[in-house]
Amino acid sequence: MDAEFYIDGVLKKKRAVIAKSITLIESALPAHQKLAQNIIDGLLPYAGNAIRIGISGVPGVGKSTFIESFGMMLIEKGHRVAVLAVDPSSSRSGGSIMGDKTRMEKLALQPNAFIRPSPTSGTLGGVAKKTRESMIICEAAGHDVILVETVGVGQSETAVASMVDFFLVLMLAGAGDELQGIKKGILELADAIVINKADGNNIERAREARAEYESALNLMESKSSVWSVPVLTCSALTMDGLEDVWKTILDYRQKLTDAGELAEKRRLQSVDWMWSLVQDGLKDRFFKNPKVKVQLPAMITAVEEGKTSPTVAAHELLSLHSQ
Amino acid sequence: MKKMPDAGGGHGVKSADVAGEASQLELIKGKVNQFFAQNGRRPRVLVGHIGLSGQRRTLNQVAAIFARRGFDVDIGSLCQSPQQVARMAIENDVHMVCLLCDPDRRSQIGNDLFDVLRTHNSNDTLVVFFGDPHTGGNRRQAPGGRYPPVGIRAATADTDIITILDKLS
Repeated sequence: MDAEFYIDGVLKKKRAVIAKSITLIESALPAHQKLAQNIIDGLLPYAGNAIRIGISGVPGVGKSTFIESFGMMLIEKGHRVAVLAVDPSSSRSGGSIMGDKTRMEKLALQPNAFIRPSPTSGTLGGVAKKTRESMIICEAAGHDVILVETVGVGQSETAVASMVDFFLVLMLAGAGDELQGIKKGILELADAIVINKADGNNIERAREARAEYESALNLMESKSSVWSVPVLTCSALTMDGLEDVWKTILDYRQKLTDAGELAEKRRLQSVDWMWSLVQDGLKDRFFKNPKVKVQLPAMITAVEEGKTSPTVAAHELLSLHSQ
Repeated sequence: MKKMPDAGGGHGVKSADVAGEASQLELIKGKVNQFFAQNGRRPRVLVGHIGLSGQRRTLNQVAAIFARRGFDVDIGSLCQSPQQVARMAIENDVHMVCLLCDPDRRSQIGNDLFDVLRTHNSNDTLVVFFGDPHTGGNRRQAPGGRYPPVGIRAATADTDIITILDKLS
C-alpha cells in the first residue's frame, strides 16, 4: 500500500485506514516511518481545524468517565470526536495494558467517535511526536474535537500541553491540605481547572475546593492577557456542569482568536514540535551509531561496577558519537 | 442454583499461570523481540468478552497473562456483541483477538466475528478463544486460514502463546 491509499482512506473517513495510519505512525520500522511521513505530509493541508483539548489529572480523578460523558455531549451536539490516550499504564515486563475504553462504553460505539489508546512501551521517547501526528490523521478524517488524555504524573502532561489549544486539568475535592501536594507545574499548564465528582454529598466539598483553587490561582502569573484560568465544578456521572466546561472552552477559543493569541500559540507549538523532532532524531542517531553500539554494553558495566564515573562515561559515549 | 457457564471455559486462572515459567518466558521474550523487529511494534491483543455472563476479573487476568509476556493489551468490556468487539479490534488495529465466551457458542460467535471483520477488510486478524480449545462445536475455516485450532488456556499459557506468536509472524 502506498501513501495515496492511506491519504485517500483517511479523507474518506474509513475507520480501518485511520487505524492503520496511526499504527504506521507508531511503528518503529524505518520503512513504516517513511510511509507515515508521506501520509502526514499529504494530510497536513486538511488538518488544523479542530479544537484540540488536553485532559489531565491524577489516576482516579475520573478522566475516562469525564471523556465518556463530555464526548457523548459533544456527539449529541453534532461534533465528531477523536480520543487519543497518551499514557496508559504499562507493566514492568514491557507490555502495556490499555483498559480505557471499558470506561467509555457508550462513546466507543458512536459512529462519530474514534478512540485510540497508544502503548508507551518499546518506544524510544517520542510519545508526543506520535500523538501530534495521530492528531493530524484524526483531523483530516473530519474529527473537529480532539481529546488527548494523559495521566497527570511525569513528563507526558507537559508534552500534551504543548500540542493542544486548551489544557484542562481535572481535580478532586478533598481535604484542605491537598493543595500543598499539588504540583505548581500542573496549575501553570492549566487553561481551566475542573473539579470532578461534584455530585451527591460531595457538592459542598467541591465548592470549597473551588474557592481554594481560585485563591491559589490568584497568586500565579497569568499566561494570557485575555484569559484568566477559571475553576469549574462538574460531575461526569450526572453530566452536571459539562455544558459549562464546553462553553468555557469555546469562550477561550473566541477570546484568544480575537486577540491573535491562538495563532501565536500554534506557531510556537510548531517550533516546539520541530525541537522535539530534533531531540528524538539525535537520540535515535546516538543509539544507532555503530561505535556507540559496540561500546555501550561495556560502558554500562563499567559504570555499574564503579570503574568509570557516569560523567566520564557519558562524555566518552558522546565523543564516540560525534567522531 | 444452576451454575452459569464460565467464560474461561471452566479453567480458573491462578496467579502462577499469570506469572508463567521463567525458561518459557525467556523464549517468549525472544519471540516478542523478533516480532517487534519485524513489525515495528509489539504484538497487540484485544481481550474481549462476548455473551451474557462473565467476570471482569477473568478478563483482567487474561490481560495480565498477555502483558506479562510482552504483548500490548487492550481490554474490552464485558458482554459485548461481535460487532462491538470487531469495531474495537479494527480501531485499535490489534493483531489478534482473544475471546472469552460460552464454550458451546464458540463456533457461532467466531463466525459472526469473522463476518464483521471481513466486511471491514480485516482478514488478517487472528482470533483465539480463551479456555479449552477442544470444547465447542465444529468450526469453519476462516479467511486467510488463521482460524483455530489455536486456543489459550491459563494452565498452558506459555506454550499456547508460543504457538500464537509463531502463527502471527
